[in-house]
Amino acid sequence: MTPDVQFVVLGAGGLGCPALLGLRAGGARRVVVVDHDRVERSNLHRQVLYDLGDVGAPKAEVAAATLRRAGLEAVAHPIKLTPEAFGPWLSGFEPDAIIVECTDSPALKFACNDACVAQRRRLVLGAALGLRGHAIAVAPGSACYRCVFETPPPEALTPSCAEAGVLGSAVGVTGFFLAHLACALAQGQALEAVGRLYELSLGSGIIRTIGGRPRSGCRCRAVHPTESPVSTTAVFT
Amino acid sequence: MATVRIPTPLRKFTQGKDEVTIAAASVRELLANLEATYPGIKERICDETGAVRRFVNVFVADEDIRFLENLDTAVKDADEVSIVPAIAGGR
Ligand SMILES: [Zn+2]
Repeated sequence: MTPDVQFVVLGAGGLGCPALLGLRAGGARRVVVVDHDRVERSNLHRQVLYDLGDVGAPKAEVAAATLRRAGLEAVAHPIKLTPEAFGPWLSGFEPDAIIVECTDSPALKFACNDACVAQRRRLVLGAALGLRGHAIAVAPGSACYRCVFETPPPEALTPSCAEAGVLGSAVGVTGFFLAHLACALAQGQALEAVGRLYELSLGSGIIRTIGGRPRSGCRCRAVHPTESPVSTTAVFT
Repeated sequence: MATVRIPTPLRKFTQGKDEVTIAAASVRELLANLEATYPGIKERICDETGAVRRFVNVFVADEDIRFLENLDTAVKDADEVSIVPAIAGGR
């Protein structure tokens, strides 16, 4: 059972919905849902916490209400996050909270990574497009998302969902996997997984981990200069 | 010939192939030969100075080339080289 940790889920869309369901499945009891968008009919197939009656309603409110009906303590924050204001905003949460980053903004993902590193927070961060998914768990002392990718991809090289194609089930696998990493982190079980990027190539069915070592020169080394990566134990026992 | 794994966004340059084979002794040579066979692909991986773009990772046999010799990392015939760009998306 997942201990009584606060999970702060950023984004309640194609990644965030399955992540929230995964947290529920993993035994999470306290969840904060952050999203400024409203439910749209065209998203319903992959944003699996919503139904037709929710169209037009704030996603964060609907998602939190759904989780409360399942017995969770769920709070909605229907606000728009920006990279600039992210750090101060994040500092208001419990120090032991686990942040689950599920937005569609590369700039926000990097801002979230940097803020979590600076505030020594545990983080699970993901991205999905087409048939590819990435997921990484970050903890104080471990390699971070920026150790793997130094900067966000430029907008000009970022394909739209329409161009890349979005398969809701592929995004769903990534979202559920993020929740799994978050629950494992909460239980202190995911230590071998921490700092590694999981690449889910769902077209070919290949899942592999890459990286895992802190990159010298990464800004996370300024925060944790002498800490070696966390010790390794079984990831999924 | 090394096997190069092509990520989805770059498969438009490789006629949809997710894997191609390229003869090369180093990553630098591999990228040049990749460009010769599949024109246009290299500028998606490298910037104007020839360095690997900062949101792209190149792995030789599952090792990040930044932890090896970077573009001078040796490539052996049986090696698998992976090109992994960051993903933007999630909705
Ligand atoms: Zn780092």
